[in-house]
Amino acid sequence: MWLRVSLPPFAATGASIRIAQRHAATGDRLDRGAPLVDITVDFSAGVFRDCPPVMTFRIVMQEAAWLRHLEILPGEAATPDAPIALLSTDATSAPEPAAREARVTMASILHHDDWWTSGA
Amino acid sequence: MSGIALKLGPLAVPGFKVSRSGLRWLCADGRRVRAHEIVAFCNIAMSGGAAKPFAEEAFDLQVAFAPTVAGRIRYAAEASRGGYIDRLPGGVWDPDLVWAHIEDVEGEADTPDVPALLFLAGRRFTEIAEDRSGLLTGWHDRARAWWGDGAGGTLLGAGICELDAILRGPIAFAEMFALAAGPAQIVLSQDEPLVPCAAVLAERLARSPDDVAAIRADMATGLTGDAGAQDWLFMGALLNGLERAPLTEAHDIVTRSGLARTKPVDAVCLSLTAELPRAARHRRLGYTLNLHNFRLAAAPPAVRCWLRASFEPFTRTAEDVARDYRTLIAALGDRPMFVVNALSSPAHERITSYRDLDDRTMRGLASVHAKTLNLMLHDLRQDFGVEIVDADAIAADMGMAAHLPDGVHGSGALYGEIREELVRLLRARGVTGFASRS
Repeated sequence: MWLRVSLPPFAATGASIRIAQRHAATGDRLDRGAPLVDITVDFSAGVFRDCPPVMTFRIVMQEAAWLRHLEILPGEAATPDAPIALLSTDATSAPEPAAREARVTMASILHHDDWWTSGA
Repeated sequence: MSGIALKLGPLAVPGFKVSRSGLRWLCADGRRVRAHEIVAFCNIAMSGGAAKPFAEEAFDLQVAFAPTVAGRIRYAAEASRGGYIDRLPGGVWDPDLVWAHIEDVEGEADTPDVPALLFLAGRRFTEIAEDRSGLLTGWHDRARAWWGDGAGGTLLGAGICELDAILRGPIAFAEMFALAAGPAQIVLSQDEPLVPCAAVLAERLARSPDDVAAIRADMATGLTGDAGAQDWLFMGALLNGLERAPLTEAHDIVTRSGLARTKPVDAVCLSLTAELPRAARHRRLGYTLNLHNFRLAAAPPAVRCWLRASFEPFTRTAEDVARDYRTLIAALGDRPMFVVNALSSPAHERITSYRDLDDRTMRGLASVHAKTLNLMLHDLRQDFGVEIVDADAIAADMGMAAHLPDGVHGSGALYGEIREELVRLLRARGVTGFASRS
């Protein structure tokens, strides 16, 4: 069975979202608790503001699955409600429409790249 | 004109001539106003004396007027002439000048024809940063206001932008003073780009003139030859924050009773959120730099080169923060410290169980980081009597999604609740001037 991971429902906030970091490669088995990706969410939706409200969230698996395809690559902008990853419950099943959302949790984490170490 | 004729009332400062600008209005003609609501303001100046009171704030010294009874405000035409006449203090302070009338009066006061005065002063980062467009407008590294007659308690706020929203509020400290009988003063230190965490504040207390000279010399030679105006402005603002020690500053005040100079602060209010997880230390001089990531990312090019070459980043733990707080507490002695705690319930987080999260994720959880700092604050309360302004509980109770929709910046209702909690704690600790008016 194929599963999808969609972006959390930030659409109503008008936030702009990017994939900050991936924690798994295509074909990896992800156990319950394994991090999938980090996303940065800019709640100012790209509008220039002092003190921009940018938060980083880590999407963590709540069930075991194989990562079959990451739809959005690090650095790319994501569209609300669009799938960001496809997974399957076995390693080699042929592609098929996702039956449901994968069970994931979303944790707010401290920015993993601060300016001092990012080289920006 | 019926109703009560509102006069300026006395403002006599022995040895000085008090001047004022024309009045600018904060509410529409004919609007009903509450008792003690500020409705107009003007700029003032003092001249002629041997001393130079308000030497650092002379350009941005203002007074706002608040009728002591409720009613319908009516402008007096002669009070305001517009243009720079209402911005520059060029006229004489005439105690008998009628500046407004108040009709349909509700309530009573001892002298209903004389308004209460809210004085305001801003210390510009630089004298060339002139902005006389409104009430306490401009680029100030210190903004303050005092209320009531005579010298009362002084509360210093030093923190992130939330303290501006709590203390200064939408209209120049007026919401804080609406809760307080006075006399009291609130001072808001604004140190951008420096974020005044406990380490930064403690180091500023201990900094000697030689230390300041060394920092100045390092900065003067730190920028590369192609540094532009933005680089120098950034460095100037940063140096300004490093040079000043707001906890030790005394303040001139003027009230209807005359001129006075207050002692340094009676109480401080800090933001726990100013304790950023990463800071940096100057490699040679050893001082701490605490800047928001977004300020660093937007820093001009030559400043970025200087920062990377001269500073070593380090991670600050809750134990580090506690140590810095203990240093500050010792410096304050018996003067109370109020700390707005960290918001620990991210609006969009969805964690059903912490059990499955790996160690790396657990270490990086923003909510756990905030809760760890908040717990540290509870230890400080138990050991040293630090007062916790529990913004975390207030925000959770009111609803994070509704009142902090972007996860960072709150609603007026939220800051109003936090403000009331702070004033409640100020009263409980007996800080002079914050008792209820009734």
